[in-house]
Amino acid sequence: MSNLANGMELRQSFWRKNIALLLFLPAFLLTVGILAPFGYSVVMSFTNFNLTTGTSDFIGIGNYVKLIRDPEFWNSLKVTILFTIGAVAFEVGVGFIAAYLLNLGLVGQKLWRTLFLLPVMLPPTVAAIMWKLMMAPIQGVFNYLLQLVGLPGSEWLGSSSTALLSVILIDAYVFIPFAGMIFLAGVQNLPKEPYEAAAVDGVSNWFTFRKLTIPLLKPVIIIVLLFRIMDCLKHFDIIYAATKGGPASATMTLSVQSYYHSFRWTAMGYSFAHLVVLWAIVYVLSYFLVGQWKKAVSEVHGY
Amino acid sequence: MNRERFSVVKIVSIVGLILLMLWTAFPLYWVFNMSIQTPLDVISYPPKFVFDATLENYSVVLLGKAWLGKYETVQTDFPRYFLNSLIVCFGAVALSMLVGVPAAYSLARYRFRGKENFAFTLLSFRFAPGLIVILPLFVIFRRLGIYGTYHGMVLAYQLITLPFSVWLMRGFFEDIPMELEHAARIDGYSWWGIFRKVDLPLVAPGIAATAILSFIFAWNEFLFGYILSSDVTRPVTPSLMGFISYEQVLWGQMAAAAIITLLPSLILAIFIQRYLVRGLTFGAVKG
Repeated sequence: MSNLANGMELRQSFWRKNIALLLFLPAFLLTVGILAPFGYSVVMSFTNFNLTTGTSDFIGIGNYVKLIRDPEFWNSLKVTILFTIGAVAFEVGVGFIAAYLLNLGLVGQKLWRTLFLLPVMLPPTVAAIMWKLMMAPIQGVFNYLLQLVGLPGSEWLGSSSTALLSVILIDAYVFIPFAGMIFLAGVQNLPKEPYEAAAVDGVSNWFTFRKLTIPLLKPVIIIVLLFRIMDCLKHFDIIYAATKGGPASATMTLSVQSYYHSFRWTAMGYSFAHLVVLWAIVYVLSYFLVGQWKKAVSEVHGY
Repeated sequence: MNRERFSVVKIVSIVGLILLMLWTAFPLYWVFNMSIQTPLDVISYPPKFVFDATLENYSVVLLGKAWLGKYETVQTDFPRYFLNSLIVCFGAVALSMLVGVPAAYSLARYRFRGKENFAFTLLSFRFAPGLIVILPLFVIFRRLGIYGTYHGMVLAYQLITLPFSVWLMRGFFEDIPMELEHAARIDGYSWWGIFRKVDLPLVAPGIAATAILSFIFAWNEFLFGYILSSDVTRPVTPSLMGFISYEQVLWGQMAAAAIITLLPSLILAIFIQRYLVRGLTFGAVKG
């Protein structure tokens, strides 16, 4: 393909050659809208920019020094990491089981697949509100159902010991289908030949799964991890709609924390410092995972 | 023995599937259930599975009428928020398609200096924390005087729809074999003729799916609308936060508002099911 493109380019006049850039330019100019605010954030994280007082003096790394000494920052970093680990583990685990169940050829499979993927398209805020209604400690249906089977109810979002677990449940409701449908696509694209060979050799199912299926699915597994880890680290909407970061900062992620710094306390500069740290974590991790993904793809396809 | 074990596996699988479907469907069923209950039924304990259905919640939310019964309520501006969402999402999708289709074609068909860097600049937004862009936009928009306006919102929302559209459509263009274009060139078609007669018909379904998915993403977006809109231009998804403060009494209305808000996304998603895997992974997995 690159050879063909090369050949085409040679036969094109100068104007024709620039058409590529001309076609691309409008979109790029609009995207500068992305880069410009981003640069602004980084610069402003070195100032004491405040919305109420209107100051924005350069204070060097002052905000970052403050960050390191701020126990609330460390708490929100901890919450962000716990939320990410919990949600991703849950979604990948159940997503894998779901992909298996939806690939068995049971009756009505097509309908089940459609039903299964519906939550992934819900507005996350709406999902949070739906679950908040069901998780109400007194009149909520969850505690009623728990009581029916003889289990004690829970405070769910209302107690600092269960709130983080509850928002992980809500996130899992929306994103298990994401993991599941991508695993399902991966399973359906598996080549047949290695499995036929394994069947002839009479190796166990578990062995085939471990030595064949997992390595072949590595690219899609990494894609799911990439998207879910990144989204969980910068997560805002479900948690904000469900708990607003509470109770007692039990669900205060970095994004929610920085939101409060800018809009409740109008300390924009300090808020930007939070976001730059978060962005750095996300960037390094995504760089690493994209690299792993490229490696896995080339191993599977052999190019 | 083997046959027995096989049937045990099958029974466990069927039970697993039933549990999975209950987990998926129950919240949707239950919130719909709440949305058609009267204010008294909705807060009754034990919760009611059987009751006299009412459309009152929907009429209150949709017509924005104040409640005259026992439970007073403020007038909701829900219809306006719904319309705002339509305006902003359509605007953002239209803008993204207008500049995104040529950009995607350019990335797929030409080689130019810094191409992949340009492409990754677009993609980088997908993985950046939303606030790192939204907070500066909030400050800049206020200075420019476009804070809370429709065109300001469209400009902000296209930051969600454009990178996604370009990446996804690039893949659709790349799926068309180069040979087709070469054949058309030999037949004497101009560049524009090839684009219009050869490429466009082949990528049309992909472009339509991209537009619909962009629309869903814009519709579901919360932070952009929550921070960058005024009371007049607030889209429907962030507007739901307004219901939370009255939740003690307005459960039914809240449920109805949630159902109305999720319906457009859900219905559109069923139409483009085939493209969901590809769309949600920015083209990385071609389901």
